[in-house]
Amino acid sequence: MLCTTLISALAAALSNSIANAAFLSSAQQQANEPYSVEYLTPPAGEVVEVGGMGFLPNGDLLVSTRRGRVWWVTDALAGDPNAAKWHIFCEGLHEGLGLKIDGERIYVLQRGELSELIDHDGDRVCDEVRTISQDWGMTGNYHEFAFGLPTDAAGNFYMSLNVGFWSPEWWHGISKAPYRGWILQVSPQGVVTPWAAGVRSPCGLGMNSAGDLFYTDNQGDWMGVCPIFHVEKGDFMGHPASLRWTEGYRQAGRIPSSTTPATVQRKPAAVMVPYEWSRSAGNLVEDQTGGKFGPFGGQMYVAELTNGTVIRTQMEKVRGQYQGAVFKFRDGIGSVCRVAFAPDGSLFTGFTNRGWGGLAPGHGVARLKWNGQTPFDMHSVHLLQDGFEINLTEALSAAPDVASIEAELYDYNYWWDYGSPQMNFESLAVTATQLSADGKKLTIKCDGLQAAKCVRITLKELKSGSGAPLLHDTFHYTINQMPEGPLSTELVSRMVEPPEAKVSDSEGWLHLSWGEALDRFESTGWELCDVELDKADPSKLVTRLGMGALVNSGETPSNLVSKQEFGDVEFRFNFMLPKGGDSGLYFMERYELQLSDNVGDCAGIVGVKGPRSRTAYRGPGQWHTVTGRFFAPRFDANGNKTRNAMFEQIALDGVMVIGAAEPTGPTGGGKPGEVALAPFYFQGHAGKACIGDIRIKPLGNVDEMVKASLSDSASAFAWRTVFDHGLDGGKAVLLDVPAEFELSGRVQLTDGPASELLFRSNGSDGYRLVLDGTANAPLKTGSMEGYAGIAAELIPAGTWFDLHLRCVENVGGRVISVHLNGVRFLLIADKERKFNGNQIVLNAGHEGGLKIKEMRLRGL
Amino acid sequence: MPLLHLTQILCSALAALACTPEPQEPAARSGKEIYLGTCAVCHGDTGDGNGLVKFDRPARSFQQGGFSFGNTPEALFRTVSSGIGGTPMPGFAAVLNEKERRLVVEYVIALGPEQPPAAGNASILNVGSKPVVVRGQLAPLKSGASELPRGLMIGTTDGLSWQYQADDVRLLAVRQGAFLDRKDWGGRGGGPLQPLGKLMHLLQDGEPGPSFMLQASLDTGAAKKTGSAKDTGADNGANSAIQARRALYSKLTSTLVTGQRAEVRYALMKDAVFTKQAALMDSSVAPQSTQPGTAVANVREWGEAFSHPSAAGFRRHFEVEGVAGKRPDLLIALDIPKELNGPSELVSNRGQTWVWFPWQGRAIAYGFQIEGIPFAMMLEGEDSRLLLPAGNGVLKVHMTTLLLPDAKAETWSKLQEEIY
Repeated sequence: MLCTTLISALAAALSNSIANAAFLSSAQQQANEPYSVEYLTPPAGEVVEVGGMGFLPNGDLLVSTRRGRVWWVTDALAGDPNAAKWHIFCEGLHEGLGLKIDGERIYVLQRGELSELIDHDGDRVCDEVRTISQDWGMTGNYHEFAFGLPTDAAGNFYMSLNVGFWSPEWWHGISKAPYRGWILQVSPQGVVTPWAAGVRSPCGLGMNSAGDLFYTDNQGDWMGVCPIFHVEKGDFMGHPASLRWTEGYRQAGRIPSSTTPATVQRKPAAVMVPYEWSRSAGNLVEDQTGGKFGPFGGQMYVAELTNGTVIRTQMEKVRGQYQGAVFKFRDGIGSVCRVAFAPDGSLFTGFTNRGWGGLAPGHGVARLKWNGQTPFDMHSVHLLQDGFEINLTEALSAAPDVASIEAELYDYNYWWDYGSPQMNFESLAVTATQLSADGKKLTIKCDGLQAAKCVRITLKELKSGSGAPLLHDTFHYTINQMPEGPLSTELVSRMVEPPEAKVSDSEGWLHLSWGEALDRFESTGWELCDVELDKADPSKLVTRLGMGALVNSGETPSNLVSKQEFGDVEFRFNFMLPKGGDSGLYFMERYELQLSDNVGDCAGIVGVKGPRSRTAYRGPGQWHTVTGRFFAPRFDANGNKTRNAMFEQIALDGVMVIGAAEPTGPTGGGKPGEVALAPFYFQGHAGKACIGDIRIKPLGNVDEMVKASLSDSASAFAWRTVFDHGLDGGKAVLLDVPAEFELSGRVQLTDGPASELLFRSNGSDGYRLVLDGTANAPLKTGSMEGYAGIAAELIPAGTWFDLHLRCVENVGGRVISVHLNGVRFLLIADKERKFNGNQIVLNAGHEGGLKIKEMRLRGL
Repeated sequence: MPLLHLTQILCSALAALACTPEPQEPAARSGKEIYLGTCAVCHGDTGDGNGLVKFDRPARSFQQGGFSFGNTPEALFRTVSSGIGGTPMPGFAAVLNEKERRLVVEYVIALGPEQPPAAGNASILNVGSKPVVVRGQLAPLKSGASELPRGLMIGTTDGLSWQYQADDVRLLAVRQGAFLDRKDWGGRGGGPLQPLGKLMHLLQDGEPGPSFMLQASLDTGAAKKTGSAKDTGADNGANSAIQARRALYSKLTSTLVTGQRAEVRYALMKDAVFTKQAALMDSSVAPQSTQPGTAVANVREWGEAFSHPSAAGFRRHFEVEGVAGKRPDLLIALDIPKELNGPSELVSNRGQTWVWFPWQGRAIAYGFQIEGIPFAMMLEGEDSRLLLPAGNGVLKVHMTTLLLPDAKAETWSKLQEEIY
């Protein structure tokens, strides 16, 4: 569901100034927060990745986790949050992203099964996992999560099923098995009824006291932002993949298009949560505490994972359908995936972010408690034909000036691209303000409100009669319908021209840390793990099992040095630093791009006048994406430098930090001397650093030998094109070659294992170059069996790459080199000369295939 | 003296020890002393596996650090206490008190190489004092087969693990040794579980057929099907008998741990049941509620190691109960290798009835004990399955798979005598 790489891609496209406003320093906030956050302490060493929470009548908390456990927590409501005692009630489930307690009965939703957990002998350990239903399809795709688990008055369960994501076009969610992309109703007897279609990544459901069901989706294809939908039987929420299992599509044998919108009537989302407030929404729960949790009874709280917050939504029925407002509620909590009210009226939040990314802590449980002081905040809003009624929790002494109120309209694109920016902005003039006699109801009038638009209203610098500043000054309201006038048939998510088809965004890139993340680096003291800041001491990191980051967690870590040499490159990587953290990316082992927990330095170049943006770096514990280009220095034939090394367009989360910089020589700490080609490294000894998803796209000056050979069209060794089309799975091509040769072409692997290029002489084994992009292959593209293995997934399936192979005789033996996208990944000298001219065999793997463009060959 | 007999004698001696009613008050012996006195005769004074006594299945070398059933103190304690079924390793629970067993475990671990740090094994599940049931995705057992999105792994305290498909329940494989690495705890989730046990037995190449069938001649719905098959001229008499059988879908209803037993419970469903994509695609109706279907019978199934000094093995137990009383049309179809041409040897002894299928030329034998039906009705072979009428009230079937030390006929006949 919540793919960080995608999110960061979108982050670059969206307004970052707004996004950054979401991250206030938590210290600054705690001071005047009416809601405190208290963290429970799971048993030492245990990782509690929360997927569901519920309370027994006696106040004991049960927590289901993505590790397939259910924890039983006694004293969860005790005054001291550390007094809570944890034990494992159930082990061995297949995830648990939904939990429901009905009286004493405990239900859990696993990835493939809705189950009741039964303790027969009263020892608080589950003895029996009773299957209620398994009646939905799964293919084994990682993204096929199942979420739940509210029930209605009749005891029916409601659950939602993700669509799958397949490489290479991972951005198109696909429903390959029945009811992926649906919300299902499951009766207590296990009868499954497909309830509503068109969902994408529906991480959370919730039911209000009126018995109406709601769910949140996650922004992505067909979901411009994270929406909150009211779910009624037969609804279609907009993601077309699920339609495959409807009558019309099945009768016609049709599979929904991934790029063309379906012609089915879409349900409008009740609330569209703006991107800066929610990037990965979880479940939602209504405040039925009768005032124990503050003044917002009857409204719903929504878990938000990436930003680590809880947000608040208040809906009203307009023309018979829910729509309404969304407010910020509490920031700086952790990767909140689940929210649940405890019997004492506190709001429990459950964390997880493994593989999804989100604010630390990434696992565990915390409770939000109200301090009993009513904050000065907007309580609720009500849409009028010409404005809004805004109910405040405290009285104003006078109506504010119209100039202090900002109002703007916008909408979203409904398309297959990942998310949508806010579109078609339009400022609205606030023409009048009016205050009720008790000072608590502020009416604002503005022209131009219309259906099928979202509205942002900001009350700037508003203070209560007693001088308190407004806690949250902005709300967004989704207008599906105006109170009066003709009913709108438009939606806030507007049908627009679809974007141009995407080519694989991996094209030209080398994913140096995919697959075996450390395989392409020389290092000691670095590990692949999940990581977050130590709650008690943010200058420290806490690591745990996972694949989220490369961390120099060892005692005396080395630098993380690339095994390959690079010249001009475009680059992209993620990083996160602890408080006071310090590292750097040294291009060519010489030119440092600083990574520092210091706003003024981060993403700057040593010796180059400082970063332009002082807000792009968002602080310790936050993951950032750095993008940019680096150009190696140039030399003439005599080795004299003719041009300095250069940095260009260095950006932090899409915010430009350095336009261009030209170090005249190695920066501080860099290796002396300058060269044309060299490895890069991340500094390991200066401080702790977490690095992720390191990608390099070689530009221009590829390895000189390759460049020279490719431009060499003269002589007897002329290139000839030998192959220029696809090769189906299981097929092979044979080419006659001399002992010394070069082969060069563009290759794309379809998703399927084990293609290969063999070159062998009569009766000899020869060599086997592996062409395999599948995730679980031990030898991946670029490996030479028996000589050199590559375990990193440099080039995913579905992506064109340049393959260059050269085999020449040398004094020491047969020298073979392999370049991928112009970078040399293999150089072997074989004294035995296992290949002595004869034949090349290009074998396409059985379940996949190869696409080949302009495969050229020449003898040497 | 043949090797086998030596094993027997030794083990009888140890077993006799094991029968001593009260363990002696603990003399203060060190782990080393206990080891030298109790273990070294087979495992060697230095733990190298070269003791005075030699076996077909050599005693474990502790110096190499490998342990059949996991290398945690808890796992070793279990092995020392209970022994390893099917091997000469007896249990010492009655010979050594708990403290002594823990001491010897500590000593044995110390004989081995240094343990890797535990952090890397954080996702490994071990079986402690109770069976562990785990649901999750499983990689196919046969290369090229599809993944099992719904899998079930059961680790029993006797050191075996049982690998199931959890939709249309079928046992796929039995393993021996360490239990499971929850690889799905890493990354973004959704990966397969990694069973750690050594493959002991694979059922039908890891792709067994349905375990239960209905005899269609006694079932009107299926009888119609047979009729239509004939209309299309598809068969002769023999074939129609086969076609007249309808596979039943084994729908998981529960997994239950009770004492040392981990039961898999499922209902045998006559009607089409959802979960297979194909079944849904056949239908031309709109998405509608799935029907719970009609259960013919309910089954409880569990497995355990079968202990015999000279052969490793395991037993599967089935209890089948017709939903509406007797179902004479119900057949249980137990997988046996295609190469086996039934019967067999019928042995009745000490009030127990066994039917054995020794596999000529292979070191394996299958034994059946059936309670609840007269023997005369018992056996009918079909393809690679043994069909038993199963619907006669509560039927209890115990199926033993014995992996023999060798494929010689005499080994088998000796063993057979020993078993009764």
